[in-house]
Amino acid sequence: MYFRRSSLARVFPAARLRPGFRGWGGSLLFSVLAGLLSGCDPGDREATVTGRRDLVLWDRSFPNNLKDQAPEGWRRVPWTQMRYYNYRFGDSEEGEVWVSVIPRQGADAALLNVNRWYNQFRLPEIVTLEDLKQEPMLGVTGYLVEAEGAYHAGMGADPRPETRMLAAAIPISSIIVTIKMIGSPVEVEAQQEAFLDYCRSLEFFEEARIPKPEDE
Amino acid sequence: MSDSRSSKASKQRSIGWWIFRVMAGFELATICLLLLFAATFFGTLEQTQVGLYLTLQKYFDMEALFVIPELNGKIIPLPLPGTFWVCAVLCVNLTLGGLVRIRKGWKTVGVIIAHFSMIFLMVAGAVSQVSKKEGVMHVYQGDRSDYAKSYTEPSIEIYPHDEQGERDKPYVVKSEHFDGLDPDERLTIRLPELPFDLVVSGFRRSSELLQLSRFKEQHKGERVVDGFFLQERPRVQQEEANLTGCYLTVQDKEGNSLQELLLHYNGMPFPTPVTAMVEGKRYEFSLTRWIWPMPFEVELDKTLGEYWPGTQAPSWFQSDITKVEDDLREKYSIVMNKPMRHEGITLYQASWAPPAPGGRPSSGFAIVQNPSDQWPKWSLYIASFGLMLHFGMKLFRFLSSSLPSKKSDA
Repeated sequence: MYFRRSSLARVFPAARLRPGFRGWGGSLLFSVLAGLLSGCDPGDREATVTGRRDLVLWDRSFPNNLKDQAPEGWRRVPWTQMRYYNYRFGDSEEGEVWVSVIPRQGADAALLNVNRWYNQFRLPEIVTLEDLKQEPMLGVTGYLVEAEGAYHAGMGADPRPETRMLAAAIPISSIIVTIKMIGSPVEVEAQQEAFLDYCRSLEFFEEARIPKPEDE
Repeated sequence: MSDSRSSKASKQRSIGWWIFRVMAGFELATICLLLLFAATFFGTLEQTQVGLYLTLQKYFDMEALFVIPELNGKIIPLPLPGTFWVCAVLCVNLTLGGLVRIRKGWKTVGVIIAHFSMIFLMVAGAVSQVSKKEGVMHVYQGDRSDYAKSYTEPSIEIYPHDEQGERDKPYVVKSEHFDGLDPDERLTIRLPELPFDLVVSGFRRSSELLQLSRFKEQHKGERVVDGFFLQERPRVQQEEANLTGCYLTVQDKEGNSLQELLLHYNGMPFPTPVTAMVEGKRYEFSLTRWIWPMPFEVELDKTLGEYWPGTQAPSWFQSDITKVEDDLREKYSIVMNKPMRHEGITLYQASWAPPAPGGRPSSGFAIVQNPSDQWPKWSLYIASFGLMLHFGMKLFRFLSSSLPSKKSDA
């Protein structure tokens, strides 16, 4: 069915190179090897991108279905397990704003959390949330906290002197949404309105749910 | 006399004839099959140590020209040609030797059919290698989804914002640009439609994002951006568990740096982009797995499952879904080994998760788009038919010649 056995020399007579061809072949072999070796070096690559993808539900999904609208002066930095939204602000970008969602374990969980914040500034604890300024947020009552002094974040971080904090705790059913702003007193003062607007901008947004007939 | 004539004739044969002879030769087929055996043998052993993804890339990818097997971290001094290209050569060999050169007649028709089926099988593999798309769609009961996400392939997405400040269609830096990109290599991404370009550096297939203030003792001089740094992690066997990370420099068209960013894929079911302002406009940058928009929506109406007693291995699961395409709504029931097929896209039930306390169960659908999806099955049918025909005819001939003829009886 197939061809019979054959040696390479018989199959490729041209494999027996003539002297002139050997020189040329040597140069070719050298070029190929040089090319291969240069390909081993780490170098720069370049790509041009013009392709755009259609929007899908992925693009309209948010951490814990919590959607925000940040002011232009804030820049979003990497997400962590404890910071669903994480921003930097100010000229030197040392000001920080972040949003966390924690489980609400017990009726006084929000109060415990507020007192933890006061402890970070070595300030006395409060006994009731009613002493705090209140604002409607996420459709419920949000509690606003302010503090100033040396900030002891804990978890191995160095204390931060002369720091001002604005924070909000929003207890909703089984969770507490917290928003915290930390920075120099001047910069935080300048961002006070932006912080409140940001807290008010938060909304629960869940587009992945199957729409009910009455929603359509 | 006749010997000298034949040697004269062989001298007169052209180079083309010799090339044809080699390419259609039985020797080449044998070499190819031995190489495939060696690659499969070493690939199977190596896969147990480095995982399926890396092994498939190393041995079977189109870009793998040569492979050096490694076992227990030791190099086996046996360079092998990449399996894709061995199959390509075998395909040519089978076509020339098994279809063109073969003696044609009723006696060989079964063998020709079997050869054709093997060529068809290898073509199916090549088509799959070049054009197969694969991803996963995770949906909670009562939710819907219209996209799949690649298990393993990274991509960077750049969202401009529309006038309302909402995300607009993202620009996508496709996975292929990150193939083999090392941490010390730089990838410049030109964006002609945007007022900036990007430079990717420090790309790591498996990394951990650490906050400097909390992990000072782990910091070994890595670049710090926004108080975070990336640390390389050993690549685990399950490629989907490796979390990709990189540094990104936003630069103007003259190459001046505007913003340093750090991107890290964290496996969350929502994008976690970082932002930069360029010329007064906000842009979001996200490192994720490649997102694949589906031509239809899947609504997960109900999902049920069971585990084998005392294990986390699912014994059975089922998903009742509604496929929504424009105004057309169709109900399907997807169970293990009974996928949903739609215009070249196949949805398999790949995973199932029971509800967390107070939560809902969820289904994971593996989604595959492969034009040659069913070709291997057909090629095996054709091979079976060809071989049955061939051996049937042989048996018939054997039985016919074995039976005593009437004449000899008389």
